[in-house]
Amino acid sequence: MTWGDDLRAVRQIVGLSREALARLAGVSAATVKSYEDGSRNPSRQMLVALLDAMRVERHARNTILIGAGFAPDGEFLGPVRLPGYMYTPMEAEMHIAELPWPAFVFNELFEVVCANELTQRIWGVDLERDFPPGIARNLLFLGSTPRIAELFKGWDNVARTAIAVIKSNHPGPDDLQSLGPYFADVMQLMSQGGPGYVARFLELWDDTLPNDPKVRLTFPAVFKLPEVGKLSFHCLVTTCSESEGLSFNDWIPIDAETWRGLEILRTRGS
Amino acid sequence: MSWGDDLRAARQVVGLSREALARISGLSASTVKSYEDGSRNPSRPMLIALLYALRVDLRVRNSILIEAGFAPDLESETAGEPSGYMYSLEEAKEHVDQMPWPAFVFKEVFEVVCANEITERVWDIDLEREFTPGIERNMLAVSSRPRFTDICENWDDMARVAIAILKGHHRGAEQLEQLSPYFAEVMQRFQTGNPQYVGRFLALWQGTPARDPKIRFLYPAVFNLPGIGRMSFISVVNTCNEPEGLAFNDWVPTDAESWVNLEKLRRSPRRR
Repeated sequence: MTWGDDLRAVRQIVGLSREALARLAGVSAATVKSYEDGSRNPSRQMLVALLDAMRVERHARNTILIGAGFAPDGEFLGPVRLPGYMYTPMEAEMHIAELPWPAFVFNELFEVVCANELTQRIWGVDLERDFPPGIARNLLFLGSTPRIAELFKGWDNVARTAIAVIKSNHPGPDDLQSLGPYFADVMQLMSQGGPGYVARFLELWDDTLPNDPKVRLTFPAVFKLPEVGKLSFHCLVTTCSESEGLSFNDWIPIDAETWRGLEILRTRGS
Repeated sequence: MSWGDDLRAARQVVGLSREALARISGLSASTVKSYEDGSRNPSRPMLIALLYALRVDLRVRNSILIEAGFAPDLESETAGEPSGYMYSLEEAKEHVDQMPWPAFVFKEVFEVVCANEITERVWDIDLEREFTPGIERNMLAVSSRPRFTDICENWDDMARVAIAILKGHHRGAEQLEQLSPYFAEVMQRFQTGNPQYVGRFLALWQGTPARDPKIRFLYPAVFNLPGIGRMSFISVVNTCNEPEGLAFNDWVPTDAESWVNLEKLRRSPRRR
C-alpha cells in the first residue's frame, strides 16, 4: 500500500466523498484524487490540512506523513506535551495516595521521592521521619538496610534490575568507579547494612548486562512479612515526569494471597 | 526567504546553472526552476536528489528539508530519547502477553491494537477473529452492544472517562453536535447498540467535564461474567509510544476475589 492508498482508506472509513473532503480542507476534489492515486505530491502543509480535516488519529496520520516522506508529528490529538502533561512531585504524591496497591515515585538515581502508606507499611519505615530526602532515600541503600532486606525475597533479582538500568543510563566504562562520586557514596551507605550486600552487589555487577532503555519496565518482587505472609508483586515502572527524571513504581499484587496480606497490613495499626 | 530561495542560493554558491544541476540530478531544468520559485512541490526523494547533487552541507540540507516540511536527514538528528525507547507494535504485543493481568494497547481514539489473552477472556471476545483492525476495534463504538453492556457493571463510569477524554484530549475538543468525521462514524456505530445505553451516553455527555491530558491516568472497570463472578480493576493508562499515540492499559485486579475469579476464568474453557 502506498500512502495515497492509506489516505483513500481513511477517507472511506469516515465515509467522506472526495468532494466533501475537498470542501472541508479547502482544496479541489481533483487535488485530493491526484494525491490518492499518487499522480501528484502534496506539500506537507497540504497533506496536514487533509489529515486535519478528517481528524485522523496519530498512528494512521503519522504512517501517512512518513509514507509521503514527511516528518511525523505528535501535535494533533491532544498536543503531546502541554504544560501539566507530566506530574509535578506533589501531583504524583496525591496520585499514588489514591492507589490501593503499594506505589512510590523515584528519580533516575533510585532516590524515593514519595511513597504511599502501604509501601511504607511493607518496608516497615516512616519515610518522612526516618529518611531525609536525597541519598538516604536511595533504594540501593534502603534495600540493604537489614530490617528491610530481611523481608525481601529475591534481593538478587531486584539488584540485577537496578544494575541493568544503571549500566544503560551511564554508558561508558563498565566499572562502578567510573560512575563517579554519587554511586561511591551509595556503596559506602550500603556497607553500613553489612559487608555482605556490597560484596553481593559487586558480584552481580560483573555478570549483569545493561538493559535497553524503554519507556516502561517490569520486574518481580516478593516480600515475606511476619504475621502477614507472602506478598508477590509485579513491579511496573512508568514515566511520571521525564524532564525531572521521575518514574512511578506500581507494585502490583499478582494473586489473591497478596491481596489478603495487604488487607491485614492495611487494617492493623501502624 | 522560502526554501526555494535557499535552494537557488545553494545552487548559485557552487556556480551551477539550472541546466547543469538538472543534468547531474536527472531532472529537467524546468522542474528545478519550478521548485526554486515555489510553483511546484517536490517529493522528499526528489529534493534529496537535488541536495546530494549540490553536495550541500548537512546544516543547509536539513534547513531546506525542514523548510519544505520534510523530515531532516537522519544522520544529523541529535540523540534525544534513545532509539527503541518507545514500543513498536510488535514489542508492545510481546510485552502485554507477559503480563499476568489483563493488558492491552489502544490508540488515542480508543482503537484496540493488541490485547493479551486474559483481556480477551474478560471481554469474552476473540479479537483477531471477530474484529478486524481499525474502527471495528473502537472500544467506544462497540461499547453499546448488549454482549458488553451485559457483563460490564460500571458502564457509566467508563463512559464518563471516554467523554472526558473526548472533550479534553482532542484539539478543538469533540462536540456532540459537530463531531469530527472519525467520531461521527464511531457514534453512528455506537447508536446501533442497546438503545438504553445510547440514551445514557447522551445524558452523561452533558454533565461530564473535559479532562486535561496527563501522561498517566486511571479508570475503574468492573466486569461480571456468568459462571465466573465479579472482577474489579483499576486500569492504569500509560505511555506505550507517544509519536504513534499508543498507550498501555493495565487492568489491575483490586482485591482477592478478583484474582480468584481471574484464575477461574483462565482455567475455564474458552467460549469464543
